[in-house]
Amino acid sequence: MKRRACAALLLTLVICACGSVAWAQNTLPMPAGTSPAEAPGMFSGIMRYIMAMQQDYYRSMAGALRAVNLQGSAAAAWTLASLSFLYGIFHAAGPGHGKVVVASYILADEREVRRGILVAFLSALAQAVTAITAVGLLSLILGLTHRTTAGAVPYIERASFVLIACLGAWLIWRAVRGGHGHGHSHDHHHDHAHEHAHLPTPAELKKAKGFREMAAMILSVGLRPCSGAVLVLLFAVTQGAFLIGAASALIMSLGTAITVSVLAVLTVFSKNAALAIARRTDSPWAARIEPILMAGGGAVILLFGVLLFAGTFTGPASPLL
Amino acid sequence: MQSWWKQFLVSVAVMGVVALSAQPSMAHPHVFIDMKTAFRFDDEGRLDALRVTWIFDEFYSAYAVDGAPKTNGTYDEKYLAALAEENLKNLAEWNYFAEVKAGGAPVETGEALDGLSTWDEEAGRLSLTFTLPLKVPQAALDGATVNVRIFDPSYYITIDYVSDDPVSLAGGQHQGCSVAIAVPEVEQVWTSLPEIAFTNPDSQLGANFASTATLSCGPEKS
Repeated sequence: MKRRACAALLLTLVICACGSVAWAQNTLPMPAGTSPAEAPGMFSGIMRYIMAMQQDYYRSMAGALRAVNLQGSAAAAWTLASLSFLYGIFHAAGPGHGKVVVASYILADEREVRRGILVAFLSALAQAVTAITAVGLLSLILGLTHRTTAGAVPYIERASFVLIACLGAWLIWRAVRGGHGHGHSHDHHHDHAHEHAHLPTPAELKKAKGFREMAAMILSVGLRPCSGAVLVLLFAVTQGAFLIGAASALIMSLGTAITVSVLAVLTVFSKNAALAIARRTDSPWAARIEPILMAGGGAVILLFGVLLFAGTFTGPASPLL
Repeated sequence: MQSWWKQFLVSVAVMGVVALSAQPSMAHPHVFIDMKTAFRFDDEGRLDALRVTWIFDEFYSAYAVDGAPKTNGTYDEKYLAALAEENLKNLAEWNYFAEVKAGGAPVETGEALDGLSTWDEEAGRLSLTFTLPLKVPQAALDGATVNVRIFDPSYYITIDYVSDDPVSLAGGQHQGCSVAIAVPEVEQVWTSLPEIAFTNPDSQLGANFASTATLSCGPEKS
């Protein structure tokens, strides 16, 4: 009876952690008409309002960028910088920016808040750098038109989505391979005992593998350029002000990093809470929770990568574009 | 072993359900249009056409004219004319986003005429003006108002009236006529629409954000 109660509590916490992933999640290309017609919860209402806000900032950025370019005043630069930062914060609540991947990855294989935040900032920066590189190369150096450059972005995104799917598959494989027989919940307690060892210990090897995975994740997420940055950069090129656009994109990435960090921290806390309870129970869930989370997180990442990849083949139909 | 897999599948299912069911909206405008509309009347005081002007946002404007030759701060007339023609050709399929109703009943509109694109160098903005004729002219008398909404149903484009002189009356006889614009509370629309309005592409999402211009004529104005 007690075991069952513990298992139920554990499951609740896992769902909490998943909630963070769910919050991150708003890009899945959904088949039409699958949602029930009900009034939105307060949460999704707020999410929508955030979307509306970010569009206001986006719109104002065009005028601000023109003002910086034409007047070059400090006041104009300050306005553009503030708008870029705010836009970044709100924009990251929308599709993209690796929220699902970062949250699922943390759920799968990360428990340090500091590293969660680091991952959020590095992937946000990588997305800005990809946008600057892509637009700089295609538009500025190769002299392609706005339209052609924008048309090339889905191809870069596809590469990112393939890598994301691979990362998910790799996490599942690791979980299944490591999931036989012994639990991992005690590994981290040994870390300190081996601090000064000269030969790599199993824990150190695991950590190195963790860094490799972290790098793989930042690469796969960062390869997808920030859509907001691309739009601003393309506009900057038409105004002959690429560098102003690049500065704006970098400031924007600070904003997106903050939003993704909040999510990363929430996910780490939820996960650690679940693990702490798991350690205190003798339920069969307890020993298995880490591989289960790893496989589950991997499955979400894999599914997400595949769906995003499939989604790149259907674009919005609009008479003006 | 068996129970391990069972638990794994349950976890994946839970994560999947949570992740899929909590999907917030994706639809939001990417193109912003500021609009002015002139209501044109015939000699008998009936509305016979709308002369619509769309001023595109800076992003879309830059996008639309990108790569075109520019002299003395403006684009070649031929280029702008071709742009207007192409835009209107594409928009025909969507009936120029226009919805006209007289006394609640839909009014058919024809093909757009006299398309014109202009470039405002100072603002860095492109505009498109066109005339949308009503197939049957409508009198907005005795409380039978004519309602006009111009919106992109997918809400990819948001079309909003400018704040200064959004509407005007033109042409023949329009004494005693006036146009009122009702603008929806955008914040409220965002937070109160059901989820299906955002996920179902046929839900006419843009209609919820559309302003309505109401034309009424005659001594007894409402």
